[in-house]
Amino acid sequence: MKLSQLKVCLIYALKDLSSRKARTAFTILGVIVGIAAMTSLMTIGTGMKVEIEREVSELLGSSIIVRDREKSPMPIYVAYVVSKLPGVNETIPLIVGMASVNGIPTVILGVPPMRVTLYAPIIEGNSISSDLSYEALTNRETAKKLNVKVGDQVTITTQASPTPRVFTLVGIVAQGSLMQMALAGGMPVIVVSLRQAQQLLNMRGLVSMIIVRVVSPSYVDPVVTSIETYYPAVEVVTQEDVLRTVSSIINTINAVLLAIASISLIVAALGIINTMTMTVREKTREIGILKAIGAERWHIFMIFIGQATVMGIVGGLLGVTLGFLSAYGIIEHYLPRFLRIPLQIPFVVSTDVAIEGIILAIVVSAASAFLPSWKATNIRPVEALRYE
Amino acid sequence: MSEPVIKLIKVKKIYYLSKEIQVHALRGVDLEVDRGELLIIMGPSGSGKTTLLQIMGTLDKPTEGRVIVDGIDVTDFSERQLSKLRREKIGFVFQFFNLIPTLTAIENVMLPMLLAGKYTKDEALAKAKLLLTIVGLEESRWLNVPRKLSGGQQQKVAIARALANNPSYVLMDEPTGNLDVFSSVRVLDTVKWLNQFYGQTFIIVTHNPEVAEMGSRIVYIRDGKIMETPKVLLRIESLKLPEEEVKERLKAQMELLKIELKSAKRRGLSSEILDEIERKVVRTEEALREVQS
Repeated sequence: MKLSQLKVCLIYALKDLSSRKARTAFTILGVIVGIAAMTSLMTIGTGMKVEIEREVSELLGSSIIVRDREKSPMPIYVAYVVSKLPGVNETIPLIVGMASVNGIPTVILGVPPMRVTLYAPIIEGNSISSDLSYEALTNRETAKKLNVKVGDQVTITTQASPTPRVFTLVGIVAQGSLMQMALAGGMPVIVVSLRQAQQLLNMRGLVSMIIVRVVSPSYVDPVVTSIETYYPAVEVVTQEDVLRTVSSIINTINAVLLAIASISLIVAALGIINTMTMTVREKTREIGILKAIGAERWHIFMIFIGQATVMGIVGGLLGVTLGFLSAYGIIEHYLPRFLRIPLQIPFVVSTDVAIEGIILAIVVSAASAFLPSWKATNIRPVEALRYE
Repeated sequence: MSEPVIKLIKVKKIYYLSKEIQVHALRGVDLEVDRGELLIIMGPSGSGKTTLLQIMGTLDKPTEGRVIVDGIDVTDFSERQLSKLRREKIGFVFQFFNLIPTLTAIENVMLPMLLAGKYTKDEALAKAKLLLTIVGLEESRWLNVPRKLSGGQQQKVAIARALANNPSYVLMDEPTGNLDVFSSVRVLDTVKWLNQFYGQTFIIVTHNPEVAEMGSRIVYIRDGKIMETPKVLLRIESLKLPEEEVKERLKAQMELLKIELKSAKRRGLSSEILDEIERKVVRTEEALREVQS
């Protein structure tokens, strides 16, 4: 096999492809769609995973969530005791419950006033000034739903305390942190002081959960062991636990999406098989001529495999480009608007994904063309030349 | 030189259509073709002449008998060896031209040279241009694809392609079967000229008596047998081409031989072959002087 002859075969293949522009274009389009689907899903999937893991670690860091195994309230002194354990920096008690604000069902959150920012940064107005003040915070979406603005008064009632209590809305918190999602889902949210939440929900001396901050990550394990020993009734959740769960969910979603995307790649492969089979059949006579003027089997094979490979390269390049573009579009426009996912998924053009996409396109194309190309080499010149 | 370019010894060809039905296309053919001959094979349809041509072109193998090309028995050659043999020793011209539709005239001529790998791309290009000049295709047509050429022009390109690798013999299957009278005359003139000035061996299968007329020898085939081989040289009327055209062709031939010489030296071919080319140069020079005087 000589390089110069290989070059002749490839030039021949290119000329042949360009003589059937429409068919070539449609076949390449099939590859483009398949590879673009793969690329964009991989980009979105990886971005989503990176972002969610980042959020979880930022949120929890070297923190531990302590809550009752049955999800019932637990005494606040647990927080006090845990704060005395060696390696514990601080403990933040939290209350989560249901309330009705101006008649609309709302998740009510009780937070120590000094630790409101743990929940979300304040983007308008002020924080709650003290544990006793009748002051509340909310996010923009809830404010819009309740039709209130900073400075307005809201009426809060709960099942435990049906007498309406009037709170002043003093500030707006940013929307879309993972904590907000975890605690409230997509529901309206109102934040009040821990003390006020305890009164509203009739949970005096009780809390829903405790966030424990340790001095450094190396203290996580000993602190978890101590808490579990002292309070067997509580459940301890670490960053690692959350990450593991979150990752496995995301990986499953990604795998399903990739499986769907691979269907389009299979369709692309069938397109190539179809095109190459037709091309070989139409070119029976031409193959006969080539053999008569002395082309060997591998020359013929390279001409046809070469065509598929060229379609794979072009389809791969364009497909990867289109994949990144559509991933960008989906991340920047579609996801925030339609899925209301409050995540800032990073858009990353990964060279790994690009190279994988192009290689996949070439391999799928060449492999699909193998059989038709092989058949082409078996055409006998005598029969081919009789073909009219 | 005494060696025949192709020799068939007791060649039989049987096609098995089914277990019971056999077709005896050739029933023991003995044939020798000498260098420089313009052999015509005539016969009615179904006489086996196409089968004979295919066996002489090594496109098909005989059921029995031997095929000897340039003194080498090629009957049991592998497919790969036969490809190489066809590339280097045999030129084909078909009734339906059979050019590669996606390639230009010049690329069609270059293709066998590039597949053989004996010439560089530049040499192949130069040679293709000269060959097209020699077969008399106007320069304005060189970059056209076959479908933009007339039948006669396509057949000229096919002849140039057949000559690309300096074959020992050129096989032609009804070369004028698809041409009008005028184009036929032009193509036949070209063949005749190549045979006379270039010493190119041609084997032409036809049932057209006009084509047969120009042959140096005619054999008849009927029912798979060669009926008579009168090894009598026919009277060849000397060719009258316009002087200018002859001059142009001879000049192209000179250039061609220079490329041949260069390529042969580069490939380190034997001095015998180099001498042979030198002889051709001298002969062409003489012919050129004759025309010019």
